[in-house]
Amino acid sequence: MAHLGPLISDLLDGRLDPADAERAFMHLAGCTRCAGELMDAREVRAALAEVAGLAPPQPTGDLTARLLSLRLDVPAIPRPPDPFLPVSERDRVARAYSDHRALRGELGVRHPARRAAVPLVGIGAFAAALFVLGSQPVVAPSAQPAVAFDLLADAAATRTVATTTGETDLSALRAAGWVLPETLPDGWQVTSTGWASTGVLEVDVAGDGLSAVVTEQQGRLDPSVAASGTVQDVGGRQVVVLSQAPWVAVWQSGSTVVEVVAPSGDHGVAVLVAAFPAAPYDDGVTARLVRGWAQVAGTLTGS
Amino acid sequence: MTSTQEAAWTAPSWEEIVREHSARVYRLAYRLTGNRADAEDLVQETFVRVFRSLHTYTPGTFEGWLHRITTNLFLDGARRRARVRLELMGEDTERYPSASFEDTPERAYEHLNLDDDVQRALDELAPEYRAAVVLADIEGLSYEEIAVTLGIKLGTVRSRIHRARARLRVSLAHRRPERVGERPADVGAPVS
Repeated sequence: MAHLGPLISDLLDGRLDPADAERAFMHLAGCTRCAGELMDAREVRAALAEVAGLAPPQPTGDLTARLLSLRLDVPAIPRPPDPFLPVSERDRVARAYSDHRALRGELGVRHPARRAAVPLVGIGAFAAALFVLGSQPVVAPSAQPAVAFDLLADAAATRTVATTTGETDLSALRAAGWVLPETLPDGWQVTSTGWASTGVLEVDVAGDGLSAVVTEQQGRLDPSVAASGTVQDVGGRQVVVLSQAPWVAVWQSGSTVVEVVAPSGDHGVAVLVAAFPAAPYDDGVTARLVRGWAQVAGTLTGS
Repeated sequence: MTSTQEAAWTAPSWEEIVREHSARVYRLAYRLTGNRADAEDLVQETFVRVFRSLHTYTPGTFEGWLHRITTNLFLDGARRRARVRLELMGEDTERYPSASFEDTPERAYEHLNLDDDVQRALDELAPEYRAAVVLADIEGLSYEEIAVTLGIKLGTVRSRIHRARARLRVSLAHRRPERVGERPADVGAPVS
């Protein structure tokens, strides 16, 4: 038998089957060179294992804090829409698929957001038929954190280049029937307004050291989405909180679905939410949708 | 709630991801780059990538995913910055310890404990070999996991680990002077 060569690593890592291992041991018994190599390799392996148990030098700054703040510094990359999703959901989901070439060797990876969106929309459409509340489109905000992160990242990215939007813009939008505060809370200002997609208004606001994204569209809040969150009283109004970090809340205001996305739900955001005008079918609607959905879902699943 | 919703996987929050995984990613980054500053940069780059690609992540092993991103970003960086194309595992390796981005003056002062010798020996390896042996012997990955992580064949993993260990053995020989010269010097990697 020739010298063991790479078989030494195989032996050391337990990768030889019993027959091969036995042959290797036979060889080792009569070959000082290979025996020496094995001992050396074992020592190297032990040294590395020892180092593995040691903590590396601590990072210089607060690395964790820097990583936590990353999400607001990442510019989003525009992507083409997914033709297989309904229009109301398309742009929102498309934006979530930021850079899918980012990972090398990620071929064939599945997109959980897409798998989740289809059944939700399907159930929503079924529920809409049950509720028969008119011909308004069903609005199904996404509870995916990645989607919310991208919205915030978009907002942070545009903030650096956007010119401050004047009050005239807001009053024009209010006149067109959009639900917007008469005056923003102290310290808050609108950094940009625009259309996230056809019929979807996006207003980026900043204040109190954080930025938030308000999106609005005409339609009725998808009850199945509403039921997936928790109803909370925020700033004197009932909203459905879909996610805590980032904080995503939606509510029905008249014929408009309002969604607010912020890095977190604590300070400031409640003030912002409270500043939105109350609409005739405001607070109660959200809670009733959730209750109604819970009953339908209970009937469906037989529980 | 419906059974559909209960079955749906909930993505962890960004804070959970960072708190749970940053120390581990930093450790790997440090072993790969060999110094704090580059390790921190690599960790940051990795998490930016994670942040952007979170929606493409399929529930499974998050650790494996992080290993893959970290290691591939490291290798990309090493290839990009390599000023000198080394013949892999060549005899002149010692003269060019900075095959990648660990070329900062502060490096010399960073290794103060037992890490010292091992990390320096790792730094002397070509990046591809260093990645293989770090994943195997420090991170404890199997050959199969390493093959997936690095996108290379199992046979290549095997030979890289073997040759990396052989090379490390030479670099670390001074730790046990009593055995130097005890055996022929023509095995695996040359001994000068």
